Amino acid sequence: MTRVELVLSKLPDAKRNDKGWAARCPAHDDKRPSLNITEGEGARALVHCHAGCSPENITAALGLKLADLMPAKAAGFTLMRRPTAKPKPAAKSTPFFTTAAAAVAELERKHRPRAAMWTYHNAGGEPVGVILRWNLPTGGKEIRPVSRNCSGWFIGGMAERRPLYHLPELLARPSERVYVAEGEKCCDTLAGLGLLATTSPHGSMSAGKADWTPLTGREVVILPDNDDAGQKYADDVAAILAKLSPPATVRVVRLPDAWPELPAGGDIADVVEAGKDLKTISSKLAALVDAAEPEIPPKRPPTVEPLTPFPTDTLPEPARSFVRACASAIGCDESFIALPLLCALASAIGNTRRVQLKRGWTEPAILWAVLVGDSGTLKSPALEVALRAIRKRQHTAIKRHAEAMKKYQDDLMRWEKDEAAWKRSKAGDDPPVKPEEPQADRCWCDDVTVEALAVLLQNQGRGLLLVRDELSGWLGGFDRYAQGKGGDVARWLEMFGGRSMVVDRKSGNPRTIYVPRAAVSVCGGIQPVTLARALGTEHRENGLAARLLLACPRLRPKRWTEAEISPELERRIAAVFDRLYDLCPTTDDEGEVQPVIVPLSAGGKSAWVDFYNAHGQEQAGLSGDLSAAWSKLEGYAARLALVVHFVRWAAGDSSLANADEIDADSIAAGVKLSRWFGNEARRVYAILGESEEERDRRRVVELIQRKGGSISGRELVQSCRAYRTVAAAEAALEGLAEHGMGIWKTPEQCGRGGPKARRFVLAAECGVNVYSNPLGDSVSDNSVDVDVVDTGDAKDADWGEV
Amino acid sequence: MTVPDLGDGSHLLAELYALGIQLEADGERLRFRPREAVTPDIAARLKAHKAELLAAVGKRDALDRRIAEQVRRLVPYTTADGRQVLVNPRYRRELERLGLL
Repeated sequence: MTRVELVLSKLPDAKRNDKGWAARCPAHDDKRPSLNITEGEGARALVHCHAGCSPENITAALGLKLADLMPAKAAGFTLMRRPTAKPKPAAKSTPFFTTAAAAVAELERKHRPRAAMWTYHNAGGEPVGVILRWNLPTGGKEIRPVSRNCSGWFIGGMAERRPLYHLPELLARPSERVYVAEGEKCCDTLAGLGLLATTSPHGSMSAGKADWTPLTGREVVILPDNDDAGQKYADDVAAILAKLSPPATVRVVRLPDAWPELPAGGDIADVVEAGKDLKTISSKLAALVDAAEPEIPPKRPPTVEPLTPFPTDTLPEPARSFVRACASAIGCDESFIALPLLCALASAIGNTRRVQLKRGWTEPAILWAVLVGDSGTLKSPALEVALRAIRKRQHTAIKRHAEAMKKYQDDLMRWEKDEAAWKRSKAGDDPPVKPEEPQADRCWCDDVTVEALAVLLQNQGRGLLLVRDELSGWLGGFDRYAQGKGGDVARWLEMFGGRSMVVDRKSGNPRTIYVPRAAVSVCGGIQPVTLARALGTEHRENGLAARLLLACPRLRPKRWTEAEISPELERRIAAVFDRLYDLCPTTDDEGEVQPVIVPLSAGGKSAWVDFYNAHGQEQAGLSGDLSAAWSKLEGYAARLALVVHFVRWAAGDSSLANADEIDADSIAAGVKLSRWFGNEARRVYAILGESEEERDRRRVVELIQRKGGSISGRELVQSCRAYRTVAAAEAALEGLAEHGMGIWKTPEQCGRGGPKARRFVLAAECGVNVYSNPLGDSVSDNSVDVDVVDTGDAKDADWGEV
Repeated sequence: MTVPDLGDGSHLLAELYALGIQLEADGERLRFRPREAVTPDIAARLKAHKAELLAAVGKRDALDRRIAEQVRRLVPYTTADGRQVLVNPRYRRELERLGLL
């Protein structure tokens, strides 16, 4: 009696399966067979309880001792040698074979002809691994892999991130349902049923070592073997598939539901072997799959928030009618008119007023708005028409300034004469008064350098509106002249708060420009791709991105419209601007010009507190970019309320009881606008969205760009706190290389100045070098002259041999 | 020159490189050039560490092959600023998004 037979004699319910035998475990109250009995090395009996009972307990429950499982002398099948029996031979002695067939032949020579063989392919369809199976005389099986690496074929498993079985078919049939079974035999059986099937190589415990990404977002049916190990494999695979982005829709089908006679450990191959009638099996399997509920509800890829129309109703008259009229005349979205109009109105109020939310917390009338849209979304015409009143105002001011300058020149000449006469007369009376040079009244500008702005702001206490058809010049132009010291961004962030600004110039008079309240509203257009690029890590981290009010309406087909903007409406909006520009700041006790502080009315305060608390709750549930945007939208609600309030005042809104207080209606309007911008921020961030992995990659790429296009692992550790070790940094760079974003250059390829650490070079950077060499010459079978390797012309006589 | 000895011949390869000596593997043969740069002392070291050097050269060549493979996949493309570069077409879109193209 063999050792296995001895154990089986104690287990009358033991049933044969593919792996050996399955029985109910005697060591615990077993409802389903969870004890596996197989024959091990040297004909020893192996017992394994999937519920976790120890072999000691199992043998004790069977009335045996552990020693009873062992034969008197290990003998027999040599193929059962386990790697744990001896330490692995050193890697260098691993024999390599030129072909898979040679490696397989070697295994078959050592053992005996195989029972089955399955081949794994990479995405390109090249064979990269072979799994061989021998059936053991005792009924079990033995599996040996043969794999390929850069040195050739060898007897051993494939490297991790192993390809799935039938990978080329999986890639070629991307919309088909995929069946995942345990083992290649089952996959082939399913393929015989006309189904697309796959499995992971190297056994049910190695699911996590395979690359399951080809199943991303696909419909997957898992057919586990009828035992606990099968269930565990199904659980492992389902968990992996749930983490894909987007996750696969997974159904797990229990075969015994359709084939109750299936023995423990049985699988679809057993079903087919026993059933013979493939048609019936196919239809039963299909019914089983249809009846199964998806394990994981199919998660949709992050959806972009639905577009909500701009709340034009919120705007007070005549702004509301003006926005609608302009939008319908141009055929653009109302938000494209409303945003620049609000910015222009805010800049007209400028430093003359600030809303006070409580003591110590005031918000200025400063808005930064960006129209996000592809080319052809009518950004520029929208900006043009929305800002017509302010442009006209500036045009008139410049004309007036030119006339004033003419008069000033005459006055100056007259004064020079008078002064000369006064000096000659030596009379005791006062000298003639020198005329003052008139200053141009500016309300908008398009110069983005901080120094030029500071000069303008010095003469414009109210502040300015910066308008750019293409805002990428502004977002990408910081620190153009500051050698990357970050001074410009810091000053812009100050300007958003309407705080003071000091600029020290190298030339000009005065050298130091001090602006006590630098208030600049900004508006302009940008394309989504450019915005995504401009709002890089730096601008997200320094908070500049969060300060932008964004509007990104859907592209709508152009349609001719007879709609026009009535001159009356234009006149009314111009009158609002005129009145706002007539607002004056106040002076404090020391004679300093100060904005008039506008408090909230009791109703306004109550509306504000409600908003503040609700907004705070919302923000607590957010993180990252959205959380940053939400923190700024809080202040924006107050700023927008301030603008709405003074437009109501300027338009003579009869419902405005007290011009000196911001009432609940204005706060409600500000809140509604702010909420719309919040929704829009969600949408735009989702549009520009990127996965965490993509963001990490982008950050490293940005860093390498700043470093001049290449980096070593050590430099990355020194430059980025996220990578604490050279190994971690090199792994990140390997990731970039895998994504084709660059290549490694070996020391030989870095120049002749001695050995250096290998460097990762960005694709666009290294591409220049690669491209500058004729590709045909630079690529050979085993090397590529990426840069300066000059072995090509070497004569054989130059070489010596060890 | 301090090159960490990883015991795999790479340090010796780097040292030889610094001396302007190139190595090449041809099966089990290890060739070097230029002949005149290899002093008897260096030749003795080459002989003593032939196996490690063959392995290190093999490793280096494997890396070269990988680069060659990567380069083969690249296609010519014009960057945003008008330069001609080679990029992996699979990642063109992501490179564009990153502003590299």
